[in-house]
Amino acid sequence: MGSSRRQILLAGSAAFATLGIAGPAVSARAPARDTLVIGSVSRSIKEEVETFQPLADYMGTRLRGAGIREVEVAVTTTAGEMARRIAAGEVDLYIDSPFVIARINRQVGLQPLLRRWKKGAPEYHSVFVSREDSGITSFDGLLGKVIAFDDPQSSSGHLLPKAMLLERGYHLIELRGERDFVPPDAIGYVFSMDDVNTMFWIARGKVAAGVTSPEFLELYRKKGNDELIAFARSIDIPRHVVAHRPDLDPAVVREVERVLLGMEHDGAGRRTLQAFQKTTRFDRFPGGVDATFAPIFAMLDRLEGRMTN
Amino acid sequence: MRDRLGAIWSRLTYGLARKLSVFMGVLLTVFTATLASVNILAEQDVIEDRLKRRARSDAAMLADFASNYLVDLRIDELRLIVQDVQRREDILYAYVLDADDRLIVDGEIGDDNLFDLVDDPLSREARARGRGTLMIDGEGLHVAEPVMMSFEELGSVRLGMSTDQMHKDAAAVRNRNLILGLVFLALSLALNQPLVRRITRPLGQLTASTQAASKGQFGQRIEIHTNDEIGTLATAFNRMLDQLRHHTAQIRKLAFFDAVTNLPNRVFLKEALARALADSRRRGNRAAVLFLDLDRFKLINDTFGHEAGDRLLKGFAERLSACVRASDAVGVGDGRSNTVARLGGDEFTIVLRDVEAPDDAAAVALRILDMLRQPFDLGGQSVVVGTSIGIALFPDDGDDPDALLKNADTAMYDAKEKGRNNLQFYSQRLSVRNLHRVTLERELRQALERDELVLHYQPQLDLRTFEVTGFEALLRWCHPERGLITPELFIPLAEETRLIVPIGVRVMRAACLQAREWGRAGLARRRVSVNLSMAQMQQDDFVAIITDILDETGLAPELLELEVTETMVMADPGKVSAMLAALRALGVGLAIDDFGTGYSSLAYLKRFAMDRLKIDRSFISDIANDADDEAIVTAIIAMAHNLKVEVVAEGVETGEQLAFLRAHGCDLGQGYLFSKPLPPEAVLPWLARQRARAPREDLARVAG
Repeated sequence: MGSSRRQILLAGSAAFATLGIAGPAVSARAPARDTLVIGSVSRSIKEEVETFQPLADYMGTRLRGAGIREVEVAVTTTAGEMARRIAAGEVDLYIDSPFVIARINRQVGLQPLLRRWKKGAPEYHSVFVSREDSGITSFDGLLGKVIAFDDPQSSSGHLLPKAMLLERGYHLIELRGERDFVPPDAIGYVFSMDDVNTMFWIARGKVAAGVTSPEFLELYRKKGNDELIAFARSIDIPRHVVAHRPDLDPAVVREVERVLLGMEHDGAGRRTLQAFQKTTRFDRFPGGVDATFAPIFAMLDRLEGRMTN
Repeated sequence: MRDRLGAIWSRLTYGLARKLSVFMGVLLTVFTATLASVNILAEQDVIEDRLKRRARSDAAMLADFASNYLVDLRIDELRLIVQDVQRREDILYAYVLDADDRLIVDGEIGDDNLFDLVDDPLSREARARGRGTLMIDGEGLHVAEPVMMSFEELGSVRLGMSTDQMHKDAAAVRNRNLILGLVFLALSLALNQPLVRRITRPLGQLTASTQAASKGQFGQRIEIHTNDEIGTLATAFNRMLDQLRHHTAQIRKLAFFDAVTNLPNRVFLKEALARALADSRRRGNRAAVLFLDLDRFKLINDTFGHEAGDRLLKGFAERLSACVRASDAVGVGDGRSNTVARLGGDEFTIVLRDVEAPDDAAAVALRILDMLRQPFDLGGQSVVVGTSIGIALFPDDGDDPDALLKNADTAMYDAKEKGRNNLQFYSQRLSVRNLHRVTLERELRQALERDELVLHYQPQLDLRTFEVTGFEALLRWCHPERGLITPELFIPLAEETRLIVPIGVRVMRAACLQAREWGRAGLARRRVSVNLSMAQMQQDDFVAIITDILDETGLAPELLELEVTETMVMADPGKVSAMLAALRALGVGLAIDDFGTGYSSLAYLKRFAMDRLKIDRSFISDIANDADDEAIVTAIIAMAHNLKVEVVAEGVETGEQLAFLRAHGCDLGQGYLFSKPLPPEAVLPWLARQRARAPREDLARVAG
């Protein structure tokens, strides 16, 4: 995983046309002032670039007023690397889940700007799932037992539910092996890495409970598997957030905000949104940035051991 | 349509080589098609089998992975593998079902179908059998493999594989085989033709030889020396050709040559004559046809037998050939190109080419007549024969073979009529006469119907007493337009047409009636003599006919005398002898007529118990001038008297003759000196006159 920490800068197709370069341009230099760089974190770099490219192309043609001639996509494999590049001024815009945005904010002052709707919903939450016949109806039922989180990086599948449990004062122990002992006053946890794994693990009794999205639980139950139920849920948090480096020219920030908010109002914008992982629209945080991010920062602090109270 | 197809097929398969070619072509085509089909099917089987094995192996491997991940419930990792598999080009789909047939891993991205209960008979069957199960349909190849851990059933893996490549490979195999097949077929067919020709070439030679043989060309030989059936056939065929050649020569000889003389026959002559005429016409030359008939050949045949007759014909043929070969000496073309042929019987024909003038043909004919002066030796008997020769010239006397032959024949008859042993050229006059002859025959038949034939009677007298002893009945034809016609003009015709038979009966009856009348008129004991013809003698019932007539007329048999020539007697001595004996038994008298002109001897004739002998008029006419004739007549009279036979002299016309005959004791005589033949009504007046003129004295004085 560490070996893949590298910086990859991929130019958009508009840039290819301008520069006459036939393949992806890889550069370590800071971009020119007239170039805006959108960043994203993924292990599948190529797919990620292809996902972001339509949006970059769209923005590129509409930011001329702000002196932006082209928009590039930069993908890194870890959030840490992304934070470093944001700090270095190499990445101007970054789109990710609220927890990641919050963490990079803490590290390098990344500023949330807009909310991104995905699959028709602006926010989401996680559900805690157990077998109906397990008798677990609250978090106390988990004491001395094991719960399965999804991926360690997953906001909804790990960070959000874990922060909730910690907030409630439960002692959590990560289990490295199956035989690991869970004290009766603590809750053991493992990473299933996959929603299907989570469902099967709970159903087959490998874990006492698990965390998944309400949609996935519904999918599972809808197909005639009603042995699993949700016994708790997390708070709602935005699905995705658009943020910018703290030192980005405010005029550019304004232009970016204007362009993204206007996308749902023109045909090309709507097509680009649809192509961009079925994004419904971009909008401002209804309660404002601070109100939206206050619980998220709190949970993050708790997760990272920075107790605020 | 069917007929046309049939015709095309017939034309296509005419000849053994073509038949064989077509057959081989069809055989090769069927063979190639079969081979290609079998090969295609086999290779397609291999391709399909390869795909099936690959599908099984992939499914088994995936099931192996799946078993590990399913036991451990690491669905996400299994998904990655399945998605990797699904990304392969030949994979249509890949998914994993759990033991309850729920879809837990789908190669397709997206969760929509996740946890679906899948009704999949193939998976059920695979799990029931405990091993991979496979099925091919129009969409592709489907395989299900159970996922097991020890004996625990964890689910099943399902793979769908595209059969596109398989179909493409199969098509490639098919095309490759088709192209190879076509190339093979084309090469085979190209080689087929020369090979078939090579095999059938000897048969072609055989066929050509057979066709040549069927056209009569037996001279060629087939030069095939292969050591197979065809070689054997060729040898047999050559042998057959030899035999055919031999037999054809024999048949030709029989068909075109006369067996007795070895001369060309009538058929050959016609062809040779046609060729000669065509040749002469082209060269503007004359040609001549000589028609020869041996004089009195029949007499020789009858007298000495057929064997002698054949020998004479043979000798005659040889002499003719010799004459013609030598004819170039007299200026008639090349002797070898002339033809001598025997038409049949005693008729011969000579075709002379390149005749410059009629005299050339006459020269050849004279040479023949000259050559015949030498007697023929017929086995001890020396015989001299004459021949009558008619000559017709091309183009003067006709320009086609039939006309020339007919005209030469007519000229020959003319020669015969002119005393035999001479030559006559054809002339238009002869043709007219020939026409006349036809008319005469018709009229003779009419004459018989109209009773135009009458008898005249010539008296016979006792030369010592000049008493009338009897009459010879002589036939005359009272033609309504031409008047009286003598027998010499119509008797030969009557004999030729056998009209002589009815005429003979009529004559016999009329003569008998007349003699009977005379008896009633007081002329007692006067005989009537009637001449018989050969045709009458050949009637088996002749004796009965005579008996009937005698009965009918009431004439005493001894008053009837029948005259036969010695030639008639000699023709069939046995039969004639018996018949004459029967007639004599009736009491009828017999006389030998025209004695001396034939080849009989008196001693021989004695056997026939005749009453009288009539010396031919030719001997009598020259009695006064010819010592030979006098000697002969004297000898005949003497010999006849020795044999107790009366002698009658015919044609007595002068007193000298009468005196000679009386002096040598000839018994009876008849002739113009006494009386010409008299019509019936003149007989009695003539007798009355004779008696009134005391003829005996007159005659005695004349003879004196």
